[in-house]
Amino acid sequence: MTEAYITILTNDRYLPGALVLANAIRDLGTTKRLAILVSNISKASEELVKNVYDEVINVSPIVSTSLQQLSDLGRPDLTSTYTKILIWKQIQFSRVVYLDSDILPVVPIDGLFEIELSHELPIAASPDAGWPDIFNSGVFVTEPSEAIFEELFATIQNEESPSFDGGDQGLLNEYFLGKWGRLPFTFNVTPTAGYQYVPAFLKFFKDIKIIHFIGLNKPWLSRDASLFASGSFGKGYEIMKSLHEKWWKVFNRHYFGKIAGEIFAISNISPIEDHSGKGEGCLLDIPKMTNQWDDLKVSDITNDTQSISEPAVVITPLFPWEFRERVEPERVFSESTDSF
Amino acid sequence: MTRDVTNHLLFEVATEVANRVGGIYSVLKSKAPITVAEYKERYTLIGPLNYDSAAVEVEELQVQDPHIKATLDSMASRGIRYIYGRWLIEGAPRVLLFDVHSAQHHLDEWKTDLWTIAGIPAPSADFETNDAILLGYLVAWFLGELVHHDKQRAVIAHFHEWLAGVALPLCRKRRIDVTTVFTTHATLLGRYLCAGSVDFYNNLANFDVDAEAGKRGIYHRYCIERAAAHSADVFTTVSLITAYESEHLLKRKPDGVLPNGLNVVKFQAVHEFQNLHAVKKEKINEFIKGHFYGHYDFDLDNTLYFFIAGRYEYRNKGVDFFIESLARLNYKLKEAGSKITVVAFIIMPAATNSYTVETLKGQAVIKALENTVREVQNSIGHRLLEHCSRYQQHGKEVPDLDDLISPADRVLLKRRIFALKRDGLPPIVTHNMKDDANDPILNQIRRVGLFNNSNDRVKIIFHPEFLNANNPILPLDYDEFVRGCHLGVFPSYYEPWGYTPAECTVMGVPSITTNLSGFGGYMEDLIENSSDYGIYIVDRRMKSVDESIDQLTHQMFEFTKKTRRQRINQRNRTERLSDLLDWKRMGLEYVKARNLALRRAYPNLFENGAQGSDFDSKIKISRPLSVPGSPRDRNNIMTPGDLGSLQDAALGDDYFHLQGDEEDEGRYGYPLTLRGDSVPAKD
Repeated sequence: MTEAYITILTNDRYLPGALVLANAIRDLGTTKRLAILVSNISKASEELVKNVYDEVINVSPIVSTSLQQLSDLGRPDLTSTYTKILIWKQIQFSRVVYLDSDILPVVPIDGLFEIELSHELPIAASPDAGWPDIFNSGVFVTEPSEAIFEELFATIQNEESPSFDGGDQGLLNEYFLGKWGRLPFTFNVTPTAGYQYVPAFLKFFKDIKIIHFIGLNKPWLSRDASLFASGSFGKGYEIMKSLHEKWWKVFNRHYFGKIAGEIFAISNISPIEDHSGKGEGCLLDIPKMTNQWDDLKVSDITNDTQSISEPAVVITPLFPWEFRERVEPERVFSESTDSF
Repeated sequence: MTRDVTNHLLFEVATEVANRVGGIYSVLKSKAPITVAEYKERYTLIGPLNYDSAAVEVEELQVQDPHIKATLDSMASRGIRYIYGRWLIEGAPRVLLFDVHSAQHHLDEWKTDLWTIAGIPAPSADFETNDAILLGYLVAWFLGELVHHDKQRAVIAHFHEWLAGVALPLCRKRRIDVTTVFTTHATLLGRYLCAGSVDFYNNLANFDVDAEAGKRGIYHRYCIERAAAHSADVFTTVSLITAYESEHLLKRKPDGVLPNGLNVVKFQAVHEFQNLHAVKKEKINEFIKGHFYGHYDFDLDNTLYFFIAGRYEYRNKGVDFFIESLARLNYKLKEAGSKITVVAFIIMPAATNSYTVETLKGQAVIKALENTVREVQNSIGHRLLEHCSRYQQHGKEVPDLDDLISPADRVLLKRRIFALKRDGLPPIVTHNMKDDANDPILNQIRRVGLFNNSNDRVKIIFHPEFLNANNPILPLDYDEFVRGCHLGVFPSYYEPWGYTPAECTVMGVPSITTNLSGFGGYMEDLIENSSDYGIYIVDRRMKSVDESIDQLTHQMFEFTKKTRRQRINQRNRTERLSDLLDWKRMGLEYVKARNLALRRAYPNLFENGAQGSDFDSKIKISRPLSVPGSPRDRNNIMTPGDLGSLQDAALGDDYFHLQGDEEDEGRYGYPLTLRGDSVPAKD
């Protein structure tokens, strides 16, 4: 039986994230397979995904109905996060490491497949930075199992509010309460959360294995590191900038130039391209220019817009001379100078 | 009857007429002599009235021209105040300055009109835009009134920058019988986008201009600029790169490029400029001795002065590049065991609280030492004379040193010398900065660790104020300072034209610029081996940032390896390029642009060469500029240009044949223009 990294892509806006995730894992020299569950994504998106994932599995999304909780969370965009429980349905894999598509591993993490799991502890994950007694569902190791899937699915179907936060994290934490093995925080560092413990960050920075860009502020939304880091101060600002750079480094390594533009067109976001690493004006193609006055063609001189039509805009007389007898100008006006 | 285009009137409109704010002032001022020579009293500059500067720069005159007089009288009768007079600069052009606030009560009416006819919004809180609108309507009023009174002569109105551009859409929409030229010296959006760290040039075509302008709160200004560009008969910029920028950001391709020239006569010190360099350098030397007191351990004969100067725009002016490359240069010089010391000046005005005590003290202790030495010197002289003239009494002809320096002198000297001791390193910045901790220049210097240590071969002095001859520390005017330096370094990212390297060139000081600056691009197109002529160009287009900085470092490093003689030769060659930048040459483009504006407005006059014959004469510029002059044998020990210049000197021939002998006076060959000198018109 095979082991695989697995992620989910349920809309095109996370496409850059999913692509960078797969490339980052491959760049770090994994021996495992890469799988992705997709739903509601465009054809073009799927093509790009197919290039980097070994298995692209089409699924139908499982939609959260807990809209109230999601809006309490401030993330009404997460309605289809319950799709995540389909992970346990992928029984073709003996074991999976699940990673959100806004994740960037920075060191090889194949070791996660060696984590000990048991019937008592069927899942291993890192504590959540916001409430460390529960785990963050962006990274976890587990073994697919029809039984777990059915139970989770039944919870969603039957319970009034299956998840306290309306998302998958609430659902999974309630289900796996007391049954999860704790991974170090370094396997799921969430620097974009509002609160940051900067000194600890500096001390343990070199130990970080996985960065998880949680929240609405995703690195791919802008090429501009300072914009990305704008919510942080002091050293935190520098840290955020460097994390942003890490993400873009992977992106630029694999998607440079035209293809990058296509990806952002698909995901319907438009970060301003930064090619300055190659040359600050490498795409500048200034055509040689002849000054018009050195290139007087007859056509330019004999202007055929001699027919003077009244201007479209009604001009209210304003200046004293406009109240006197109207004198037609002797000069010719070119139509081309009339619109801007 | 059609208007007379041969004797047309020319009005040049800008906000910096007789009022220095930025670079446009220099353009107008230095260009005045040739324009006056061409137009005499038919040339008038129009601008807003600033009572303070006008009081010093303008001499009031009676209006002579009957039509202009009638026009102004009619405006005055409706409460518009103005000053008409002579701008007291070389060429003494006429100026007409409108007090825009005398029309303040029209503001709302005019704003409404601007919205109706051109769809340009005008928020009330933006005073700069309000003034621009007032000026624009006053100019349109004036021009409209004038062409009602004067039906004989054609009128050209030339506008500089968006601040003066409101009148352009008005002239167009209200069908005023004048022909217009608009010159933009940079684009609003370009300046804003570059200052933020976006990859500007590679994305020029991709910006959503309206959205970007909106984000920065300059949408209304952008609208004015864009309307001005589109409604002008002829639209021009100052360089190719800015033309390209304008095409994408303003959405009209400029009709041509009007590069900025310099009034070379002002700078030309024909054979004197090498002497001037020595004299001015001596003044900088004095400052350096004081500034580095206690750490003055380098040889001033082996010291080179580099500098960067301009508005404080950290990224646009390339200060980041400059400092980083200085750090690399420092490393290279140390590694090479070079004896050369480089002192790099950064002259950029920032918010300060006057001089630091340390800076003042440095100059004071050196002054004190100098005075003491002079006194001791005098008394030694006396004793020496005394001793020698009575040598029979002592039995020896030449006295010992101990006989000459009295114990009191020794004590005094020692006291002066002990005063030179200092605990800290010589300061980087000469002033107390308002925001020392967040200043980007200082932070970059801290980052690269150039702290004027003794073992550093590159020292940095940041002078956060413009130079002035009345300055107690470095008593030099900017141009004197430039003459005293060895190399100007301007690695700009955004620099539509670049007066600073051009000024260096006409003063015979080599300079480094980039191919992203207008000047760099211009020189690159014009001269093949520009570095031999002291115009070094850093490639910031195709090279990565790191490679560009390396190239800049390399250029500076090579410069430090030159011998004194090589530097002198190079300065000679640099100075020879100044004719290329003279308004006498550059001004031709202005003449042609105005001509094009006339053609577009009165096309029938130019058919069959009817009246146009005057304008059609071929422009004759001296020999093709690509004539190879210097041998390019790079293996030779001499730098390539040295041999060339020696040969040039021997043959009495000059490279571009630009020196211009008397017979060749008409070489610029434009019969309509420039035959006159810059004698102001008679009143």
